[in-house]
Amino acid sequence: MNFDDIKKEMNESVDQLPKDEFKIDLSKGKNNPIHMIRSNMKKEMISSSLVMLFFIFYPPILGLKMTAIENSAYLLFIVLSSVMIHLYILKLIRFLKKSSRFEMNTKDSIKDYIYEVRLTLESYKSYVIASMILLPIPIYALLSAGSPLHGPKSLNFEKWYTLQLNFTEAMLLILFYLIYTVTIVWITRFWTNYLYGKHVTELENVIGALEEE
Amino acid sequence: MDEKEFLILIEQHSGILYKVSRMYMDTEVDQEDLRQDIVYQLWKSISKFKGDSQFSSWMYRVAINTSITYFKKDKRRPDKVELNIDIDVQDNEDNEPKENKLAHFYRAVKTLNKIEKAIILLFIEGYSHHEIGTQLGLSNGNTRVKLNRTKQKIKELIKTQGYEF
Repeated sequence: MNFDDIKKEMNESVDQLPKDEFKIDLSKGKNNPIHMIRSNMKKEMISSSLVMLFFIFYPPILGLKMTAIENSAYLLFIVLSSVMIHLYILKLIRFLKKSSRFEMNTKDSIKDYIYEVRLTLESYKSYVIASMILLPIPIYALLSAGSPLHGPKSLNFEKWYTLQLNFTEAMLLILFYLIYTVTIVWITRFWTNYLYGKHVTELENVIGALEEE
Repeated sequence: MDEKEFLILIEQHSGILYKVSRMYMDTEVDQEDLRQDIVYQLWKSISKFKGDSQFSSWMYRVAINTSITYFKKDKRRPDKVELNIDIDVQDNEDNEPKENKLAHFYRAVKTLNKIEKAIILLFIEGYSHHEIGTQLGLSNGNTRVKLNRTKQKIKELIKTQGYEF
């Protein structure tokens, strides 16, 4: 056997294969991480719109009696989160429309691709973190108003919201927000690395293999 | 170029798609998925093809780059495997010698990394050192070293399967 034999047989083998019917399927690219992240972002944009709509109408639907301060804080932060999330995602979708440049040489193409995946992932992480960071305030207002699960108005939202707190309570609030933020950041980083990090590492190894003499 | 013209061009060069997908994927299902993915990437990139090089060279470049970045989620179907000599040879004892020869080659290829697969495929397709280097973004010297190393690796792998090379 030699490489000329292999070439000849490879060509013969290809000629004998039943041929695919090629078509331009825009749903393809599904095994491309950038495509997957963008697709996830679009799905999350739709689901977060629905969730925000649900939350805006949740208190009236349940007939919850909110105080003026609970109501205003609730609506303010829900609308703020919603506007922030949607503007952010719209901007990202426009930005991420740039397609990968697979027509460059392999080394440049993969380097460009890794850069784009990393940028997309960082954008995605900051979107998730930014959208989660404000949520404890409206959720607390809701709980304080007395959800079916949590009963009477014992949580005293007004006191916490206007920061009429003693030292211990203030420290507890700061500690809660710190732990909450760190947890959100950690989960987001862990999840994106679990889904896509291995692929990026593999591609970095490919660049390493290309560059090694 | 409209969609119809593009697809005719792809049909004319479809051999490239089959060869590349066979090098990078193991099962027929994965190979077909990869081929359709390559067609999608070619369609997205076709406006950037200015005719500076042959269409086949450009198509090889996009196909190889797509294959290298292809992300297969199913961990049960790895695209690089350890060679199991006993099982591999025994499975093909009754096959025609010709099929056996190509099967041995593809079985050896499975153990190569993604760059080595690209190098050996371009070499078999008759590309020069310089052209392989240009396609992959390597210097001539580095291409020569990698090509010789990959050829040697393939030969040794095929020999360990009990086949003369």
